[in-house]
Amino acid sequence: MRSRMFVISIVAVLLLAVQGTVANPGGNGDGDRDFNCAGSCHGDPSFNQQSSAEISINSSSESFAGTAYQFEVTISNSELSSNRLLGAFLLSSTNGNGDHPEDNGWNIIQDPNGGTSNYVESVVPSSGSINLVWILETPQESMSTELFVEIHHGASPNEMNRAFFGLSEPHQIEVIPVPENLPGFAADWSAPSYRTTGDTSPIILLTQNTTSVEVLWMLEGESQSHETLVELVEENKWLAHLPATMGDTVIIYQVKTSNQEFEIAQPWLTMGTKEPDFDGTLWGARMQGLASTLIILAIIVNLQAILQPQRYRGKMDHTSIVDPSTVTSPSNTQIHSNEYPDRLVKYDEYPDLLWDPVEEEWVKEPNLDDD
Amino acid sequence: MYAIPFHHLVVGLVTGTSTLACISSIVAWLSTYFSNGDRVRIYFDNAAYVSAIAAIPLMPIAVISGTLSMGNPGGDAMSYNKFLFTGLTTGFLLSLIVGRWRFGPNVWLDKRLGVLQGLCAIGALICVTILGSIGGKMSLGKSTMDLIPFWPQFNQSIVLNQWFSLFMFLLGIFAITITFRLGPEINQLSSSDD
Repeated sequence: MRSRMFVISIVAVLLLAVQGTVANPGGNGDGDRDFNCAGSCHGDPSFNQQSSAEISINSSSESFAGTAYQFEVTISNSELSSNRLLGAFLLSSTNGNGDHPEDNGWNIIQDPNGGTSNYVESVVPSSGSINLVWILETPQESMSTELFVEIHHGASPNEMNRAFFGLSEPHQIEVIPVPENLPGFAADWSAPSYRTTGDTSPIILLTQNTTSVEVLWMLEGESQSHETLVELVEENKWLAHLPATMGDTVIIYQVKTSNQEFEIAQPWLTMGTKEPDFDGTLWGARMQGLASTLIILAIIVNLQAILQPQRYRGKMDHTSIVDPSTVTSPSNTQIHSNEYPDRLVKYDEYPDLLWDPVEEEWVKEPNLDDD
Repeated sequence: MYAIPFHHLVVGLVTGTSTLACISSIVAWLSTYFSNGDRVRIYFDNAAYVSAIAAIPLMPIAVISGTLSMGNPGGDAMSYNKFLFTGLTTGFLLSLIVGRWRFGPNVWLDKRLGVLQGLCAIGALICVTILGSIGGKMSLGKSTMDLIPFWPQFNQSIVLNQWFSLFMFLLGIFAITITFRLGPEINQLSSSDD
């Protein structure tokens, strides 16, 4: 009977747990996923519901083959779960399999969270709108292709425990062959990943087929970009004066390369801040360690000499300047008292005198008088 | 190949002897504040003196074995700080030995000198603890100082210019020479000097 009750309790707990875990309210983490997560709760007609979110794609509809391409989408949604989590997919089809952009010749260089996934999870700000950017490399061959954005989210309150989903309109992109004089970064140039804290030195940009460069920058989390000063050093070599950053600040910047025929906005690049390199050396450390040993020793040995008791005794002892003729004999009462002779101090240097520390005076040696 | 285990061995010895010297010194000093502390003072004074003398030759061996067991010694703030704190520890321990050697076993009985010896011992103990903590942090990722609620910034260091360090080193030698050659005469203290 007891074991039967135990089994029933376990089954009841499991059933209750299933009821409490509709979809994945805490998200699944970034990853590579196909349309509708291959039959997830958001894709199941018995659980899902169409999202009221607006999905707006703000990207170029034309790109050169094998070049960097910035895919930007703005999602506005007032209907979210209490943790405001939103999952967004970048897809090249809506078949339910083979939907990853890489299955259609695209390559993800950077996702909105800094990784290389086609599915990312983000917390939507209180404004209800979020901007997501994927940096992609276009297919190597010219073609006409399209990209989609799908979103998954919850709602609060969500009495029916619905899993919401939304899908954007397809975004058509014409991938065209690269012209010969296309302005862009030099093949041997790589963007610096970090800059030392407080460093105001400009970053060097190497370009090709470029007659003009414009650089925009903003701090991570900002939405307003600023233009910075760019200097031409020599042909296709430029200095961009980005402001110094401190702590763990991340600066993002975009280079626009142009010539008489083309103006190309390169993808936004990210540059972190790091602590300055340590400039200590082994010999410097050895020398500084030894110096501190000797300095500490010198200070303390000097303090020992200053604080030694003989030094103070020397100051107080004026025996050498006493004139023996001024020394008075003790009175009879002093001599016959037991206390008085005990307190007199004899010094070898003055055999016929005794020092009275109470009266602070020299007295004649009484035994000498008797002789 | 054997540098790392040898360094661990020497570090264990140097840390143990230094800590024993410091704690024994502090106990010897504190014993003077108790009327019946003479016997304790004599024991701990001897222990402090012997262990401090034993720690001094082990210090350079620990530094050399540590240098050989590291990829880039002094090239980062943590290892640089190890050199600095080794220097400070050696300075405090040498001061402790010099004081004990010049003034004798009754150095603790003099109020001023006793305090100075006690402060040297405390300084050396703090430096040894920091030294061990940096070593533990570098090799194990954990240290004694994890017990305190904040981790001091030992991943930063005060780096002096190499030439200025050389100047400080020469100044130290000059100061030591002047102190021992031209300083006042030092006599061992008798028990009535307190």
